This record gives sequence, structure tokens and C-alpha cells, in this order.
Amino acid sequence: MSVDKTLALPEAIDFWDKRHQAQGELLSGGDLSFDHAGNEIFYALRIGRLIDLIGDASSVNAPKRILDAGCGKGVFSRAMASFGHQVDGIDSSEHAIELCTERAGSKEHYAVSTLDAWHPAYLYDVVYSVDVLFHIMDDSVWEDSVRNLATLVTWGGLLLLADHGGAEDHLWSKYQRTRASQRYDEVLTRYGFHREGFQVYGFRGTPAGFHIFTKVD
Amino acid sequence: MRVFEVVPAINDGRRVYDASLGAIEGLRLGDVAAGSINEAVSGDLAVLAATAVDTESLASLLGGVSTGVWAVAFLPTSVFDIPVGPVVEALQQSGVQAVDALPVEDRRYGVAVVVAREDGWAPITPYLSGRKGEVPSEQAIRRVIAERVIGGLSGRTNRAADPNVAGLEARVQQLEGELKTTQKRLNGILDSRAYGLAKKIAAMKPGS
Repeated sequence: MSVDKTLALPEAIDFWDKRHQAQGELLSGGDLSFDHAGNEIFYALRIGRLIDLIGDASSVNAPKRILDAGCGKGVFSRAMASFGHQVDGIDSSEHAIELCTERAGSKEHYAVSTLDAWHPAYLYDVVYSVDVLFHIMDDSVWEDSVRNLATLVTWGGLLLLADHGGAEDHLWSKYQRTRASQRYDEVLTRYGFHREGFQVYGFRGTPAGFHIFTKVD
Repeated sequence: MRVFEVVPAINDGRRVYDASLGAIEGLRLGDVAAGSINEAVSGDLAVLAATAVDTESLASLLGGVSTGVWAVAFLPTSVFDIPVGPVVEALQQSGVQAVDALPVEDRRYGVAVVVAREDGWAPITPYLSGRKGEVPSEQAIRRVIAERVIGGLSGRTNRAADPNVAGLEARVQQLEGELKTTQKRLNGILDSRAYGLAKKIAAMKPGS
């Protein structure tokens, strides 16, 4: 596919903010090629994949701390909070974060931030980013984002980054660029991470899934 | 996590050895070897029930864990009130390594601490992950120390800056002071009543 021009970061932020304003809860951050019911299944399936990877243990009294990087309207964050985890959700869309904050329970905290600029005063047991990194078109911003998320994981913690699990980079549209698995390995091994594998979502043939890394050094 | 979920959650193929002496209800361990902690052998995962969370008794209990044995000690404390100092001191004094710590939903035992006695380092389990832990490398130990130093500073400032926590701590201190004063007064009343009663008994004549 020939793509004449990709979205620069300010354009991308504006694009997603407008999409969050224009679309409903699932479609705004979901896949426009599926109908509402399809997106319901897609979200439920990815929540299930997250449970598979994060584990089914939780404690309301001593929760895990989780970062949802690029949370959109907070579907995954609310799910994680409902499972008893303490969740921070960040997104560049002011509109989406406003909606998240209005609905937030006591275990959820939301903030407007890009992935490369979130610097909280604590670390996370789990950092995940669902279908966000392949919407970052600028390679240097993508790398800064992956690096920054890596710094936020406590020793022994889990970093789950969604992309395609392919061997090569691929430009799909003006707002979608997938990166080769090797690109993630190159950045994250320098930050003391070990690749545990790639878990494809397994939804209607989509090649997307989670790169699974643990912080070992 | 309920009591009976703890051992399956942490066990990685070890033989379970019940050294809790029947103190913990609802463990559901099934037909496993049982007895004194001193009889657990290398490769066992021993289950212990602490009677208290003071340094001396806990260190004594964990001191019975021999080399190659891992143990999960159920502590009779709420997860909110875990006495960190005495527990950490007990682990250090007994020479075991902490591997994991879990909140437990039980009337009596609110915390389970997993320890190991190994010649080298034992792997540390990531919190509530269900994943097998990693043996810390030198680089990992530096990382953990850095997290403790830098994260510790951040934790202190956050705690001090949280008006709810600061307010509650002040209120708890005030209530503790009032409780001590009330206890002293109560003891004084009891003492004086006992003294009065003793005087009356002493004044009584036989047959009166």
C-alpha cells in the first residue's frame, strides 16, 4: 500500500481526540472495520488475554499496580480495576481522559499524557499498551515511548506491548505502522527485559497480539 | 487469597510438608506428610503457622527451616498492620531468604510469607503473578536496591503529602494516647476497689 503522508505527532493527537469525540465507547479505540458486537467480542477477548498474562490473583487490600498506556476511554482500565488492581490510565486525548475520570472508581486514576512523557513517582507491577504503539508513526517517538514504559516496570514485573508479531516493519496507513519484533527486542534487552514470547490475540485472523517481556535485570 | 489457595499458588512441584501442627483451619492440603519443621527435608515446601509476629518467636520458627527447604509461614496479623520491622528482622536473624509475601483472607492469618534456605540465592516471585520468579543477578540486586532507595524516598514524600494519611495518623496517635489514659484510670479504679474489698474481708470476723 502506498501512503503519501503519515500523521505527525500533533496531528495524531488531534486525530485520536476527534475520533474519541465522534465515536462511541468501543469504536473510538476499537477496530472500525468491525461492528459493535464484533468490537464487544474483540474487547472481551483482549481482556481475557490480559488475564492470561497478568494472572488471576488479586487483592483488594494490597492491589497490584498497573499502567494502561494509551487507555482511550478506559475499557481495559475499568476491567483491571474491577478485578481489584490499582490502575493508572494515560492517554493523549483530553476528551477520552475526561470521560474516564468522570466514571472512575476508587482504584482508577487517569491523566492526559503521551507514552513517552509519563513519569509517576512509583513503579508498576504490570505495564501494558493495547493497540497504541502501532499508531505512533514517528520512529523516534515510538522508541522513546517503549523506553519510557520500560523504565516504569519494577524488577520482576511484566511489560505487555501490542503490535503485530512480524519480522519486518510495515506501513499500513497514514496512522498505522507496525514494527518488527526484533525492534522491541533491541530496545528492551538494553533495559534488562527478557522476551517471554508473543501472544497473538487470535481474533478473526488479526495478526496483532502482545509482545511479552519480564524485567529480569 | 483464601488460605487454601496459598500453597497451590506458590508451589512449583515441591513436596508439601505440613508443619502447621493443625493450627490453620481450611488448609485443604490433603494427604501430605506432616510433623515438626525440623523433619522437613530438602525439596520440601513446609507449611508453618506462626503463633505471634514478634522477632523472637518468628525467628525461632523459621530457624527450623533446613537447607533446601522452602516454607510458607502464615502470620497472625492483618495485612494492614503487618509489623514490618519485627518480621524483616526475624527473616534476617533466622538466615532465610524472602521469596514472596501474600495477603490472605482469613479470620486469624492475614499474611503468608514464603521463605527459602538455599546455599545461593533463591528466585523471588513477582507479586501475585503466578509466574516463576527469577534468581536475582548482581545487576538485579543493584536494581532492587535502587528501587528501594529511590522508591523509598518517593514513598515517604507521598505519604507525608497525603492529607488523609497524615490526618488519620494524627487521629490514631490521639486515640492511642486517650486509650492509655483510660487504661491507667481503669487500673486505678480496679486497684482501689480491690484494696477496699480486701480491707472489708480483713475486717470481717469469723462467723459474722
